Amino acid sequence: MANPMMQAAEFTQAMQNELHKNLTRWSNWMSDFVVSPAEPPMAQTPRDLVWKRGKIQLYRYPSQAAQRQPLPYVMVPWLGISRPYILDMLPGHSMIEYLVQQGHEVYLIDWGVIAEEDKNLGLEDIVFKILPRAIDTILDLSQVPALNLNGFCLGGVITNSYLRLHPDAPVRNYIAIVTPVDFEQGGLLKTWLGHAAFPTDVLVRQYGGIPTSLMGMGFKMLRPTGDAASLSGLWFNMNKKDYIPIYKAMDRWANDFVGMPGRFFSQIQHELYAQNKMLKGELMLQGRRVNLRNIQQPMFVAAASKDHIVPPLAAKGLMGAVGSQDKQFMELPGGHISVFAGRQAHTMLWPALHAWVVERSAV
Amino acid sequence: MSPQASPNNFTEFWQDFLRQSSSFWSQAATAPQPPDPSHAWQQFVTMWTACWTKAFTLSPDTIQTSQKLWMDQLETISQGFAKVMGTDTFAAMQGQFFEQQLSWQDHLTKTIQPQTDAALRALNLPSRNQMDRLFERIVNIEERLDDVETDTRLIRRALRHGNDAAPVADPPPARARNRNAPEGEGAES
Repeated sequence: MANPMMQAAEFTQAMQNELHKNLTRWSNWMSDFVVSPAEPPMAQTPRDLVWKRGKIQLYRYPSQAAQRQPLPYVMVPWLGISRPYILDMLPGHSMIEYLVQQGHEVYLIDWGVIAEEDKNLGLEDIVFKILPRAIDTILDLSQVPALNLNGFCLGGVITNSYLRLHPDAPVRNYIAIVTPVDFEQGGLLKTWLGHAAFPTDVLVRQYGGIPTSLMGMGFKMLRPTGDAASLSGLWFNMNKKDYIPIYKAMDRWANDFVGMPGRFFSQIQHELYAQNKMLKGELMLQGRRVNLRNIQQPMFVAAASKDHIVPPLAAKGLMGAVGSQDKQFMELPGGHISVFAGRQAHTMLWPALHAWVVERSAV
Repeated sequence: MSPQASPNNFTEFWQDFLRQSSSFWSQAATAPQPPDPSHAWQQFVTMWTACWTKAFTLSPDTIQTSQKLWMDQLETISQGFAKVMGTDTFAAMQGQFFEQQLSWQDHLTKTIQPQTDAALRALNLPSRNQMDRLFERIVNIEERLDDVETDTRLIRRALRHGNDAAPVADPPPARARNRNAPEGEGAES
């Protein structure tokens, strides 16, 4: 039987250690939140603005490695909801920085700050006009015949539609990260947005789309204890100096919402969440059917095990829907954002993605 | 870390403590008073100390266990919310509430719209509808410019590839631009 006096001594030691940690926490709080509350500068990877259409901007991140990868890597993030600078969060914690250091020339489409004047922006405009023009620009600039295309979340819905409706698209390899395809498995968002009572048409008519405030409220409702958990994690880890800039950056991004164009939201809600048309092959854009079976490119699909926005099964649906022979699915630990922008992405998603792309990018 | 330092054992520790406390106090209440009242308190303190000693034995990493318990609690609460909010009833209720709010807002907007427009006219400021129409025209102009740019690129590409005798010079590469460049600057293609 353990000696209670020894156990008491261990407990006392543990209390002393915790006391020291608390002193460090208070010290770090004073220095990083009171004296210098400024957020760390984000999106620091060098880039050029190479194309612009209204608010939509196409950035090029030149390769930083001696040996450059043969094909450019094009990122298409989600439209609306939040800004895409999470993909280039902080030096040392940036997916874009990692890729350019591995030799990839990365292109990122930034949809801009969506507001009411964008209410008529829909899937058709993006799939038939904007994305093809952006890809044209990329091919002209890079002087290559093809590229690697990566869709994130709703950006994957856009790229899925683009690939299907452009059979001759110059896309060598296709990557879909936390992209919803089987909206029946969409979790809480499916329950709310898939219900007939959700007043999409009234909302779009009145606000031109989803306004920023409503977007923020909706996502907070998905995890009501999210802020409490985040602050608790901050306190528990505030004795580690390197934790604080990452927290500040992630916190700033997580509260930096933008709206969603009305037409796009209407399509997402009516056609996808309510009727799951993409997986069923019933989605029509400008009279043409989006049948995922016609996607033939090698495909890499990543999902997050604790994703409450796009549950793993919703993303995995793409695997059985496409006609690709060479396809790989990875379910990684983490949430919707942390899977590609969190600490574990360094050792999990990014290296796996890079290896997969390099193997299939020979010109 | 002791293998017994788990939330389950912590819960059992509290259950055991409450059980022993209740038993002690009920016995103390019914038993005849001892000549020395402090004796009862000594018994209680001994029992209390024994319980806490058992806690030290069970969980020398009490602080980490407490932190984990707290985070587990938050996760449990979140899952509880998700269960309630994930029902069809909640979705219907939410949709109806939303619609009511929007209808009320719409009614209010329409009621005060004439007064708002009149005030803006008096101040020589554009109304929301006028701004909307302006935005639509700007978006249309951008689309037309986009079409012109695309056609120009196609023509240039066709000339470059189709005319071997007089090749057309490639367009200049995009200049490196400061990412903090002010809005409105377009990039050369």
